[in-house]
Amino acid sequence: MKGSYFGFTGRLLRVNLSKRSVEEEPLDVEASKMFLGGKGYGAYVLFRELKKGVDPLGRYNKLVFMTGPLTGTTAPTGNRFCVCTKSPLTGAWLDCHCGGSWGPALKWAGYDGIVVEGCAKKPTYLYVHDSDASLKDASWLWGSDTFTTERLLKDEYAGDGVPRVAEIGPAGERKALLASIISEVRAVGRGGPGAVMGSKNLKAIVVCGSGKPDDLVKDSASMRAAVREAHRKIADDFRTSRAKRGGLVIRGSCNIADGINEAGGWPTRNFQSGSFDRILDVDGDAFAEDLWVPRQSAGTRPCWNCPIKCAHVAIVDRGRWAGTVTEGPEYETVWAFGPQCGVSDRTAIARADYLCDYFGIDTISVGNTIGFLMECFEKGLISKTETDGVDLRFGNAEAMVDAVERAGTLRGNLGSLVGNGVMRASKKIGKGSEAFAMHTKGLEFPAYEPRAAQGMGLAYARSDRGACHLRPWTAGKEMLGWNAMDPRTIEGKASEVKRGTQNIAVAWDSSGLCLFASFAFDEALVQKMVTAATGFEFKDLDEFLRIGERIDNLTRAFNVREGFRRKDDSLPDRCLKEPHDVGPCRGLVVRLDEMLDEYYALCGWTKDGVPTREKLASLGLDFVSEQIHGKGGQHD
Amino acid sequence: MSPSRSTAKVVSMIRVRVRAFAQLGRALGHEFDVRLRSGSDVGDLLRLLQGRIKGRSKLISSGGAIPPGLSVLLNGLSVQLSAGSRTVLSEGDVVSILPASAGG
Repeated sequence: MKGSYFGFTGRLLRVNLSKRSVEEEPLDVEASKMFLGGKGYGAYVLFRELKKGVDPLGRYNKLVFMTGPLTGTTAPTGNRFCVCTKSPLTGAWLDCHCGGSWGPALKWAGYDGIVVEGCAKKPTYLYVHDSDASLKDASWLWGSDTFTTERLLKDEYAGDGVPRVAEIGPAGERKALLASIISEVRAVGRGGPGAVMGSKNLKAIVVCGSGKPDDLVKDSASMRAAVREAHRKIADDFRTSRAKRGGLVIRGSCNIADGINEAGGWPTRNFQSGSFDRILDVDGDAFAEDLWVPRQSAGTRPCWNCPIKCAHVAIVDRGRWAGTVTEGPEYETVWAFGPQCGVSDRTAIARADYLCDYFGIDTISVGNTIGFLMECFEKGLISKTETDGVDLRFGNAEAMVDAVERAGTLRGNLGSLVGNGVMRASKKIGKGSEAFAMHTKGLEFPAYEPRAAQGMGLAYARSDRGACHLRPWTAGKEMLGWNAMDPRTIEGKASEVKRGTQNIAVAWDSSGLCLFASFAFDEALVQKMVTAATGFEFKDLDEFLRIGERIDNLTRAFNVREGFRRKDDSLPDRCLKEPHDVGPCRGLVVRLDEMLDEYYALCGWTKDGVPTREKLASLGLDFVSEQIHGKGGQHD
Repeated sequence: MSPSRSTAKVVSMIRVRVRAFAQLGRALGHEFDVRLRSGSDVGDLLRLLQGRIKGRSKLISSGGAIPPGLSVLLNGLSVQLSAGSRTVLSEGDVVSILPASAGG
């Protein structure tokens, strides 16, 4: 595979489902220097190829599956791929990231990414095997859940090596706006990428690759040194070390639940409180002690090349949902079906997690929306007429699981309300419910209360894909005490959010590494690995991080072109007008406007949140300027 | 010679609530009250608790600092925002002690 490209294979697949064509095209190497891979390269493709106002579920929207230059290399956690598209849930930019083994397999099959366009007339899947790709009939798979789909396709191609599959389930087939794409029980979860795949009649993508990690690297000696350093740091850190029984290793991502709850930041009963009184029933320790199988057993399935291995497998051995086996649940999922719905029954949370994977639908958004509907139900804004007879009260675990099951196939009114997300549900219900429909740009809030961490409030509001906890994640500093920042104040939050956003965009979301590795090592080491893998030289770390700033401005411009402005960098009234109820931030609301003013100024954007012509030019994004400012003037 | 009358010194005490999680909760109990001399700081509390669990987890370094594997919140705020282990405690304070965590 060595040649003029390193880190990258230098080839993309372009799949046109309308024409049933599959063609190879070269990676734009200059673009890969400017935007790297993953999210960055996906943004470069979609900004240029999608027209303003394109229907996200129509034939002209596209799905880009991209790896990064470290995907499939020896870099620890180099197992990520990302999916970029225009979201049908928000109408805004969308990128989602996923671990497992699919990304490395695509790279080893000889491709950096796949651009999917058009719509197939009948159910179809794509098969990629070592530089060969073809479209196949998927009629026999249509209607299958994700587990069955994956098993059938793996059986089908078992003779071709180790097939890896990314697929949609019944939710994606029905174009539920919360539908996800699943691969090895991991989700490309948020914003409805599964609905886009379903709208294209694309059931799955199977990849088999026989390449090797070292094939992709330019400077093997430097890579080995950087990889050793990365492993050493992961092994040293108290949170990621297996030898030190780090929290992330032993108690999974849910190890943070206790700290977030103690800080008054774990949203409870649809953000009516920031503290869950039954925390000890649903924290990482409780799941580890009760439901998770031992780490060393054959049932655990870590992502490829991950020394942290945060994933766990739960088996329900009692009660109504006995026999349920699920991967996780993760921190966000525990919250979504736990405190958010007032539920502390671990078996119900595990069941809801399983059902979301089975149907292919996003756990965070589904749980958020059910919690919202529970509040509407308890306040009398909806009744059993709207819930199809379900007694949708906080704490009713059976009703919660029932609602998830209905959402998976958009069954009835309740299934449709849940499966299409909280923004649409609140618009349909009205009666003032918009004030506590917890979303930004249509994407449901995840598991941090922004009134308990001002920086998280700004992060949710400004995020390109809507309320996201990872762009950036200030909660560690504001609530868990790392290099602590005061969660009550806004000082320093705008610069923290700007720095974090651009670092994440390049070093993690565009490199192919997992963000969880950032707990152990920083962007400087990622830059070393990127240089070793690709041969790209950076004058200094700032030049590397400037790629992240460029990517963030590009996705911002994507949204501006779609009509998004400051008014959309918003939070619901609950965050802006209702004082928080517990903890050190009791009595506070989010001071969003003040933070946005400072944030936009730091970014070089107008007061309305639009990147200026000068800022875009300084980042080499003149082709973007023309589209959002025209040839002459400038948006205010 | 008449025996000297000893005068008992009145020691002012405070009561703080401790909430401990994960392996620390299993070792210490998840929630309990501790009485300390008035003027005690977080370090004093951690030394007291260290005595209860011996070497099972490190709650305070020999130099009196909070070790990197531990997170301590005082009334929900990291003590890093005040004076770390030298943060003085008051009557009714809630101290949360947790293993260092990361995720999301």
